[in-house]
Amino acid sequence: MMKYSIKTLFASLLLLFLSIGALGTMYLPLEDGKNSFEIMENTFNSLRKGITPPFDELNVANRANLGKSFSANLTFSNRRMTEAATRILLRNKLMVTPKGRTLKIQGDLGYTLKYLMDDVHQLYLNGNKKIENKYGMSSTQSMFVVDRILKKLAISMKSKRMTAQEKLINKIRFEELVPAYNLRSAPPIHINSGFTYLSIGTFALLMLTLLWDLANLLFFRTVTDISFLKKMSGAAKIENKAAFIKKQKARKKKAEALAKKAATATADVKKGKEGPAKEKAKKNKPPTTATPKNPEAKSANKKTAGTTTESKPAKAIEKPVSPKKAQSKASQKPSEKVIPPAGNKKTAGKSAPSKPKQATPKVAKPAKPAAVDKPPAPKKGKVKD
Amino acid sequence: MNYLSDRRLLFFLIVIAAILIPAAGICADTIIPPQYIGNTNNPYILPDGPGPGFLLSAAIGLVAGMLSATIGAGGGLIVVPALMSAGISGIYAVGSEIFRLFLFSAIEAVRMGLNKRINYKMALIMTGGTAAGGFAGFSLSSSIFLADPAGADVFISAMIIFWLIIYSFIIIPDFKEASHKYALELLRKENAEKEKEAAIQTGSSQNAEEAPPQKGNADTPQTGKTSAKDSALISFPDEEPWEIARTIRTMKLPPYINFPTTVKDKVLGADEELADTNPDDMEEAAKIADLSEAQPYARIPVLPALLLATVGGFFMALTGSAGIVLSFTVLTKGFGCVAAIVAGTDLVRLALSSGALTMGAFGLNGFINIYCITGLIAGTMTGIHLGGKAIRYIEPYRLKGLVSLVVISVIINRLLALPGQLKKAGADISYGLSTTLDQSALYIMIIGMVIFCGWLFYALVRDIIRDTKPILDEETK
Repeated sequence: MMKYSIKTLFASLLLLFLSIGALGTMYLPLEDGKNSFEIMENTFNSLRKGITPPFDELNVANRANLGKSFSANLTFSNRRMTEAATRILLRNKLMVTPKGRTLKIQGDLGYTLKYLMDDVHQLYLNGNKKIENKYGMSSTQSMFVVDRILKKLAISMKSKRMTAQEKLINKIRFEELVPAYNLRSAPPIHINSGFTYLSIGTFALLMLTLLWDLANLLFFRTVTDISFLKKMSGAAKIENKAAFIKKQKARKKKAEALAKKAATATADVKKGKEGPAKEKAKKNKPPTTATPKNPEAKSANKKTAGTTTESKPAKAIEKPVSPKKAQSKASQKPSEKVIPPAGNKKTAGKSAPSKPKQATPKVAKPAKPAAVDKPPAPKKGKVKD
Repeated sequence: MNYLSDRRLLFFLIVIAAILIPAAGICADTIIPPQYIGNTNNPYILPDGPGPGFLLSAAIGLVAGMLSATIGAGGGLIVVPALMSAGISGIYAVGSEIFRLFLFSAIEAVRMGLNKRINYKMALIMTGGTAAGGFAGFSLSSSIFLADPAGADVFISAMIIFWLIIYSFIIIPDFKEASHKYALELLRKENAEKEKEAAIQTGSSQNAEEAPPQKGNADTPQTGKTSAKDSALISFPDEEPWEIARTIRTMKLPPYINFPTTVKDKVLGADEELADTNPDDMEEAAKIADLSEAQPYARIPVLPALLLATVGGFFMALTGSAGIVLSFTVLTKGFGCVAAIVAGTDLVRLALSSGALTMGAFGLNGFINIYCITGLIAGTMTGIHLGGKAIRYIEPYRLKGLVSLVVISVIINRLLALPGQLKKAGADISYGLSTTLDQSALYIMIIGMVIFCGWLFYALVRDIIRDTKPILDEETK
C-alpha cells in the first residue's frame, strides 16, 4: 500500500504542471508561425482531402464525349464574370462569341471537359502556379469561374436533354472541383504518410494522456486519503491527544479500581485470618518500613513502593498475564478462542461453529452468540499488543 | 466618306487593346472568390479550426469522465450530443469521441490487465466483432455524410435517440430496483429502531448488548464508504443472472469459450428435502447432476457474444457510444459472467476496436478534431479520478438516478435539436421555432450535466471536509 503524504502531493502537482506545460508547448509556434495544434489540424485536413476525388473514374466516363462537337449559350450574372469566363473558355480551345453577358460557345465537349478536369486536378495537387500562368489570374478566381461555367453548362445540357453529359458535368463539379477548391489550403497527402502522421500524433497524445492520468491519479488519491487529510488539517494531532488523555483516564480508573480491590482484599484477609496473618506480617516485616493501618493509606503506599506483603494479592492482579496462562484461561472460554481472525476464510468457515459444540457443548452454549458476533476481537487484541 | 487608313486603324486597335487588356485584368482581380463553393451543406467544408475550443471540450470531457467512473466506461452517450450542440458536425463528433475512447480505454485496460481482470481470448473475439460492426457503421455513416452532411446529423441524432432509449430501458429499471431496495432497507432499520425503543420502554435488558453493533451500522460515513465497493471502477459486484443465462451457457452452439460464471445450481440445505419425483424427472435430475460434475456453466457459446459485439460496434460507429452499459448488462446478467472480468475484457475490446476504427476509418479520413480530442481526453482523465473518488460517498441508487437523469436529458436534447437539423437538411421549419428548440435543447443538457457533476463534486468536497475533522467520542469531547 502506498502511503500518501505531502511528498506525493508535490509529486502530483509537479506532474500536473509538467503535463500542463507539455500541453502549453503545443500552443507555441513551431513551423511557419503555426503551432502544434494547427499543424495537426492541417494534417487532419490533408487526411480529409484524402477522400480522393474520382479523377480516373470521371476521365473514363468522359471518353465517350471526346470528338463530340457541341454548342451552348452561357449567360453570366455580370460583365466581369463574363470576361473572365471568355478568357478561360478561349484558353481551353473553344470558339466563343460574346453577346452582352451571354457567351455562345462551340467546340469539342470531351476535350473541353478533359482540360477543365486537368485544371481541377492541378488545384487538387496545389499546383496553383500552373493555373495562374495558364489563366493570368489567381487559381481561386479561375476555379470559381470554372465552377460557374460548369454550372451553366450543366443547365444547357439539361435543356438539350443530354442527361448523361449533364450528370457527368455535375459529378465533375461536386466530386472533383468542390473538394479540391474547398480543401485547397490543405496539401495532398499519401495514405501511407497519413497513417504515419496519425500514428505519431496518437502516440504523442497517448504519452500526454498517461502523464496527465498519473498526475491526476496521484493528486486525487493523496487529496482524498483520510490519514493525509487528518495529518494536514491537524485532526490527527487532536485525535492522538484525545486518545492519550483517554488512555491516561483509563489508567487512572484502573489504578483506582485496583487500589479499591486491594484494600478490600486485605481487609478480608485481616478479618478472616487475623492471627496467622499477624504472625506472618511480623516475620516478613522489614524493620524499617511502617505499614499504615487504614486500607486507603496502604493502597497509596503500594502505588509508590508496592513491596509490602499485604499487597501480594494486588500484585497478582497487576502482573501482566503470561501467554501460557492466558491460553489456559482462554481455553475455558471456547467462544473467544475458537473463532479465527476474519481474514482467514477457510478456518473461519469451518472451526468457528463446530468446535464449541464438540468440545464443551453444555458450557459453551451461553457464550456462543457472543463469540459469533465478535469474530475480529482476537485480531484487534493482537494488533494492539 | 473618309475611311480610316490602315496605319490609323492599327494605331486605333493598339490603343483599344491597351485599354481593354488591363481593364480585363482589373475585372479578373475584382472577382472576389468565395471561401467555399458548392452548396452550404457540403461535406468538404472544413470544420472551424478550434471547434468548441479546448476548454469547452475539457468541460465536456470532465462530465464524460465522471459518467465513466459511475457506469463503468463510456461517456460517449454525452460527448457526441454535447459536441453536436457545440456546433461540430455529427461525424466529426463521433470520430473525436472514438479517438478519446481509444486513449482512455487503452490506459484503463492496462490497469485492468495489471489486476488480472481480462479474459484475453474473449476480448480478441469480441474485438473482431466490434471492429467488423464498426467498419460497417463507418461506411454507412460516411456515405450518408458525403451525400448530405446535414442529413447525416439528423441520422446520427436519430441513432443516438434510439440507442439511448435502449439504454434507458436498462438504466431506469435498475435505478427503480436499487431505490426500492434502499427504501426497504431504511424501513427495516426504522422498524428495528422502533422495536428497540419498545424494548427499552418495557425494560428489556438485552439492548445493552445489542447497542454497540447497531451504533456502528448507523454510522453514516461507514456505510458511505462500504458502498464505495459497489462503484464501477473500484470493484464490480456480481449481478444476479437472468434465468436465460443457464440456457445460454448450456446451449449447443459451438464454438465455446470458457468464462467464469455467476450461475450456480441451488444447493439444498440440510433441513430441506427433495419433493417426490416421478422416474422421468429423476432421470433428468441425474443428467443435470452429470452435467454439474462436468461444470456445465463454465463456458459460453462464442456466436451470441460475437453478434452482441458486432451490433455494439455498428452503433459505436454511428453514435460514438461504445455500448458498454448494454454489453456489460447482457454479459453479466444474460450470460451470467463474472462482472469484474467482463469489465476488464470489455475495456480491452473497446481499446482495440476503437483503435482500429481510429487508425483505419475515422482518423484516416480526417473525421476528427484535434482541439476536441485534447480537451476531451484531459477532461476525461480528471473526471474519472474525481468521479471515482466522489462515488464512494454516494448511495448507489442515487448514482443510478443521476445517470438516468443525464440519459433522459440527452434524449430530450437530441429530440429538441432534430427540427434545427432537419431545417439545415432542407425541411421547411420556421427559423424562430428551430432556434428556440435548439436553445432549449442546450439548456436541458447543461442542467442535466450540472446536476450530475454538482452532486458528485459536492459529495467529494463534503467528505473531504468531514475527513479533515477529528473524530472524538463524547467522553474525550
